[in-house]
Amino acid sequence: MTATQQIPAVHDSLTLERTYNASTTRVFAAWRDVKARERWSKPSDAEIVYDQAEFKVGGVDIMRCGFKGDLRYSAHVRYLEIIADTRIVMAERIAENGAPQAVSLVTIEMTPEGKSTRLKVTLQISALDGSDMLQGYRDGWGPTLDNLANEF
Amino acid sequence: MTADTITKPHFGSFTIERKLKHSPARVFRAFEDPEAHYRWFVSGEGWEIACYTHDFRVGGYEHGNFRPIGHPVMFSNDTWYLEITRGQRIAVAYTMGADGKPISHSLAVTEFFPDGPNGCRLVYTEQGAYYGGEEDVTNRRGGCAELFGKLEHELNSHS
Repeated sequence: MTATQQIPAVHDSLTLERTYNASTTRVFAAWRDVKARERWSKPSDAEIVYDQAEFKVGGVDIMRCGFKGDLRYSAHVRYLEIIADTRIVMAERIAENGAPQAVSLVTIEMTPEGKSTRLKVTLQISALDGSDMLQGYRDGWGPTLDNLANEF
Repeated sequence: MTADTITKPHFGSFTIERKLKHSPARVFRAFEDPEAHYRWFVSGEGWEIACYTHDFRVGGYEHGNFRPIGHPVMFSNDTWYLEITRGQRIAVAYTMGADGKPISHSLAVTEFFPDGPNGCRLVYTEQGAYYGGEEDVTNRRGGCAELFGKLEHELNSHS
C-alpha cells in the first residue's frame, strides 16, 4: 500500500445494555450534567477535559482525553435529539492528534423497569483510519457504562 | 397510540455503489460547489424549497425545509459535516424531520475511489436510527438511489 492509497471506511454497529438501580430521571441527569460525566465517563488512569459543553439539541461538546498529561484524543459531539429521561441521540467525531479516526451515531435509550432503569446504547460506527475502532469502542464504552453505576 | 407514546428507533443500514464516468475530483466538486449541490441534491421538480443553507466544511451545519408543492407537512434536513477529505471522503450526520419532529437520524459516509483512468466509484453507506421501522430504511435507500441518479445527470449536463 502506498502512502497515497485511500483507506476504505469500515462500518459496524455495537449495542451495550446495562441496568441501573436508579430512576430514569437520575440516569438522564448523569448524562446531562457535564460534571457528573467528567467523573464517570473515564477510567481512573485517564483524564478528560471539556472545552465546550452544550447539552441541548444542536449543541456541541468538545472534549480532549487520554492518559494524564497526554490528551491526544479529541471528540466533537453534536446532540441531534434529547427527550428528557428517555432518549439522547448524538453524532460524534473522534480524532487522535487531530487526525480523524472514526465517526459514529450514538443512540441512548432509557426505559424504566420498576425503580430501576434499563439503559441501551447503540453505536453505529464508521472507522476511517483502518484501525480496529469497533474493539476500541467496545473497550471504551463497556467500562464507562460500568462506572456509571457508581453514580447511584 | 397516544400523544405520549415514544416511538422506539429502528436501527438499519444500507450501501449504494455507483460507477461514474467522471474523476473523483469532479464528483467531489458536485458536493462542494453550492450551486451544483443545490441543483442535484436540494431542488427537484414538484418540490417547494422553503430554505436551504450550504456550509461545506468540517463542523459545518446545513438546514433545509422542503415539501412536495401543496403538501400539508413541511420536511426538514439538518446536516452536520463530521469529516471531509478532499476528493476522497465526506462523512455527515443528518436528521430528517417532519413538522419539526425528527423522523430519523443518520450517519452517512460517501467515498470516492478512482475507477480506471478517469472514472469514480462512489460508495455511499448510511447507518441510522429510523422511527418508521424497516420500511423507512427501504424508502431512504430508494430516495438516495434517486439522488445519485440526479448526481449523474448533474455531472453529465454541467462542466
